[in-house]
Amino acid sequence: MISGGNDKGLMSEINVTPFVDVMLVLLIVFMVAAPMMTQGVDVSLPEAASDSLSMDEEEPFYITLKSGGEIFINDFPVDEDRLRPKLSALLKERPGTRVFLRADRAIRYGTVIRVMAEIKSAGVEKLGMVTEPLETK
Amino acid sequence: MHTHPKAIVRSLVLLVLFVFIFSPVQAEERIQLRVTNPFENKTPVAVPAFAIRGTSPTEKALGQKAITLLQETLRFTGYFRMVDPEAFLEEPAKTGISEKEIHFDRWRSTGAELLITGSMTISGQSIIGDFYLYDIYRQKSLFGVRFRGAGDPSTTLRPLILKLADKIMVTYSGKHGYFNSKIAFASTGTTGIKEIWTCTFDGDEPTQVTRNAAITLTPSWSPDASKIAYTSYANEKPDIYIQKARPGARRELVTAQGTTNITPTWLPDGKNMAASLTINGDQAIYLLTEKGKIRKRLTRKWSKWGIDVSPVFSPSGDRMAFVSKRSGTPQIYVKHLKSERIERLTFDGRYNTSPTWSPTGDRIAYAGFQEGRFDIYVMDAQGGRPMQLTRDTGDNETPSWSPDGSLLVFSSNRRGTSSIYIMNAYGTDQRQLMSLPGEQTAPVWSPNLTR
Repeated sequence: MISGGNDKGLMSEINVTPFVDVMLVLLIVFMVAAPMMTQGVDVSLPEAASDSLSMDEEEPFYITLKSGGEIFINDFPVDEDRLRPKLSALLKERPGTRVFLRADRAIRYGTVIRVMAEIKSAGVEKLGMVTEPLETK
Repeated sequence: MHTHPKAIVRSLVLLVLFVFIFSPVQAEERIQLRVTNPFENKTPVAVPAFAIRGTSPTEKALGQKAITLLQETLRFTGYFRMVDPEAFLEEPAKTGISEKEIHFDRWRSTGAELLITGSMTISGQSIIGDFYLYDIYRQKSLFGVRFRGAGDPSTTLRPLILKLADKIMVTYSGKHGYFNSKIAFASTGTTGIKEIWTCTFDGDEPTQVTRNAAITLTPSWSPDASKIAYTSYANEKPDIYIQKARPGARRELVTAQGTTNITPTWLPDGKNMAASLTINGDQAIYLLTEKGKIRKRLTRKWSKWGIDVSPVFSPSGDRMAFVSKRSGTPQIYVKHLKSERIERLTFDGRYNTSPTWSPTGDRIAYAGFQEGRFDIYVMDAQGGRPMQLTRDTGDNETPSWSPDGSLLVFSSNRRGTSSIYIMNAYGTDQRQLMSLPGEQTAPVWSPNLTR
C-alpha cells in the first residue's frame, strides 16, 4: 500500500533518465569522432593538382633544389655528397621529422630522382614533394 | 500502455557497449612516464664553436680544447646531450654570439634546445672568456658572463670552462655542480699494495696520495676537502691516520689505542671524528678529536656479536648511520644523536653495509648482498622500501654521493677487476670513470673545494 503524500517513501529504482541522456550524447560524440581519429595519409608522391599537405606541429625539413643545381636544407647550402650524412644526422636528432623536396621546375627529372634517392637512403620515411597549385587560366 | 523504462535502458546500454567494443578507435599505445628521473630525457645542447681572438695555432687549438672539455663536462652531468655537429644548419665558425646575431630558427631546426656561444681572448698570460647561454625555443638569453683566468692559458683553461659548466648547471638545475670536487679511492696500482689515490670528479689527474707501503684503505674526506682520514697497516695493525690531500704530505697518527682502529669519518664541524675501535675485545664506535682523544662512546655493547663499524654522519650532524652486527647479521642502523635513539634501517638480505648520506640528508645509499651479489641500494633515511640501482652486473659496492646529490660513485667488478664507476642517482647511465692498473675500491666523493 502506498501512503499517499509521504515524501519519505522509498524509491526503489535508480532514476535512469539522466544516465540515458548522457550515454546518448556520448554515443553520438564517439560516432562523430571515430572516423576522424584515423591517421592522416602520408603524401609521398607529388600530385599536380593536389590538396595541400597536412602539417603537424613538427617543423619539417625543406630540401630545395635550385635551378642552378644548388641544394639547400632549409636555408643552409650543402654539397650533394654532404646531403646524406647531414640529413641522417638531423634525423637522428629529430627522429620522424618530415622532409619535403622542393625542386625547381627547370631541374632535370634525373637530378630530382638522384636527390630523392639520397634523401631516402638517409633514412627518411616521410618524403613529400612540394608543388605549386595548378594555375587555372 | 507504454514500454517498461527498464527495457529501453537495457537495450540502450547494450547498444552503447556494442558501439564501444566494435569502434575502430582503440587505445593500444600505452605511454609510460616517469617524471621523477630528470636524466631520462636529456636536453639537447648545441655547442658550436668559440670565437677565438688570437691568431697563433696554439690559441686556435685551445679554443677547440675548450669546446671539447665543455661538451664532455655537460655530457658527464647526465642532464644534457650534445647535438651532433654534423646536424648543425649553421657554420659553427660563423655563428653569431649575441642574441641579435643568432638565427634561432636554424638552431631549432637541428633539434637543439639550448645553445652556448662565446668568445675567448687568449694572450700569453691570461684568458678572458665571454659566454652566453640561450634558450632556443624562447629565443632569449639565459645568461651572459665574463670569466677571467690569469696564468698560463693551458692550465687556466680547465678551471675557466668548469666555472662555465657550473654556471650552466646552476641555471639549469638550480644547484651548483661538483666540478670543484675530487674522488678519493683505494688502488692497488702497480705495486699490488692498496694506497689512497685521488682524481678529479671526471676521473682526470689520478694521483697517488699516500706512500705508506702498507695496506691503506677506507678514505674519508674532511668537510673542507683539504684532508683525508684513512685506515692503514703502516704499523703492523690497522690504525687511523690523517693526511693532507696531496701527494707527499706527512701522515699523522690519530689513534692506535685499540687492537684494531678502522673506518674513520669526520663530523660536519670538521673538528671531531668518529671511528670503530676495538678496546678489550669490544668493537664499538667512538667520538674522537683529531688528536685521537676519546670524547665519547657512541654505540653501546648490545649483544655478544655487537660489532659496530662504518660510522657516517648526516650533513646536519644530527644523525649517525653505521653498520652493526648486533642482530646477528650486518645491517644498517641510524642513531639520533640528541635523543640517543637507535633504529634499524635495513631488513632485506643478510648483509647490508657501506651506508652513505645524500647531501640533503634525506636518503641513504648502501651496498646490500642479495642473490649472491653486492648491489647498490638507495632508501629513505626515515626507513622504507629500498630502491635497487644496480643489478646483474657483478659486485657493486661502496657508493658515495656527488656534492649535489645527482650522481653516485661506486666500485664494481663487472669487468673482472674492481674499478670505479659512476651512475646517476636513479641508477641509469652507469659508466666506468677511468681505467688504471690494479684494482680500485672504496671511492668517496669530496665536497666542492673552496678556493
